[in-house]
Amino acid sequence: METQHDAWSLFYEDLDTLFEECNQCGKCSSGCPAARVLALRPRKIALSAQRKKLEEMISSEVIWLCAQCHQCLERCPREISPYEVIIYLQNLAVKNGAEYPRDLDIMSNSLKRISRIQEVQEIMDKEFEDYTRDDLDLPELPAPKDMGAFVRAFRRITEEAE
Amino acid sequence: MKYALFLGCVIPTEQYQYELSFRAIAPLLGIEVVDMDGSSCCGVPVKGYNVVGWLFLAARNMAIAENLGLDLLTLCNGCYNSFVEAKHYLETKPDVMEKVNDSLALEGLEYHGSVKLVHVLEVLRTHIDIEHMKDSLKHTLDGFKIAPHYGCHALRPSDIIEYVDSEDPQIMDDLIKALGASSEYYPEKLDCCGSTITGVDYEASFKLTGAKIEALQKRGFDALVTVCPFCQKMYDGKQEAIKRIMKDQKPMLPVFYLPQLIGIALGLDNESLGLNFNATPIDDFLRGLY
Repeated sequence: METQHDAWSLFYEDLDTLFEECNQCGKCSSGCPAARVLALRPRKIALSAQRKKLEEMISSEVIWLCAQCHQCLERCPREISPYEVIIYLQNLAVKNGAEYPRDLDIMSNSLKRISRIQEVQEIMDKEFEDYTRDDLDLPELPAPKDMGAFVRAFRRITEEAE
Repeated sequence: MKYALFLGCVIPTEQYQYELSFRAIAPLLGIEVVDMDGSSCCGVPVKGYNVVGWLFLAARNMAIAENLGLDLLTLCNGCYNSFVEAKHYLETKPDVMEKVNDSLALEGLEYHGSVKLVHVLEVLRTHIDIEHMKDSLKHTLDGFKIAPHYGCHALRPSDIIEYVDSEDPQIMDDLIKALGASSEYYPEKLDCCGSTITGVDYEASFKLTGAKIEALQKRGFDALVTVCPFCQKMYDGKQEAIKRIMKDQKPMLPVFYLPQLIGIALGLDNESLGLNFNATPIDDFLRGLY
């Protein structure tokens, strides 16, 4: 499995040693909102990382249950960030062809087309009237001046990283 | 004071009431905004998909603000988080910054790392005189007990966010009190709205949102106030469905964006604040104004 990832060098030099500091106190899991309603346990992510079970972790749907609230890293007395590790594992899962939420493809494709995750929507108000930005006299939505150049730049940096 | 206004994706494509109300109150508070020509998504939606793509998009928008020579003002907590974290990582990783800049050059942009990032709460606090705000209000919100919902990304990571005390934030409480309303600590204050997990398991996310609404009503709050389109979509947009699923019989809790609440107190009309777009019933609240 490919684990060397340009992106990852941003966060940690070496995942293998990262969680050696973790003594499994569980403060991360106790603060985790996803743990209240779903199967995600940041403490277990740390344990799996200590045991170097990368492959198992990236094929588990658990890494996609993170609410990205950042409570786990705030609560860690050893200044470890399970949140960032989860983001890393998500990146690895995508890169290695594991299952991931298809919303991510939809958003990424939209980005490569219009530079945003969605187009301007018609929104219905309480009186059942539909409105867009124009109807509300809101200014035109900003967009890259040269969409072709934007797409080339975005593709270049994301595909280089793959 | 003048700011570069960054709207992100969700606010300007669907949460019109947030943009409308902010643009409506800004000039009354001495806040001047410049729209960011050329701006795009903040990058946060692709963080788990392609982390370098996230940094590229964040740096791209920060570079545009740098060119304008203005502080970068975000209305969305997600965008704020994207920029705050990206700025921090790019500072500590010059090799990645170089790589990002290589791609930015294709559009004639360069990110220098000098941008100043400001959250909407910070800007409102700067421009509102808490002590004397009541003097300039058309309707004081006396008698209302209002809960602030800060949202996770207005507060965390605490080591790189300086404008607020992440564990005991008061800035939004103070702004609510400046309007004449009361506010008080509630144990669920820092709880996550659950928005990020709606795509994976909406029922689970609804439980998180619903638990907070239930607690707020039990504690006697009259309304909830947010500063993030994702949080607002959960507490306001999804509240009816959440109450149905949770078999919660209580009437719905009104939910406002903070600039809407400020605009109401300043006496702006419903239309200019986009109040017709709020999904929760707010008429009783408005009728109760002094």
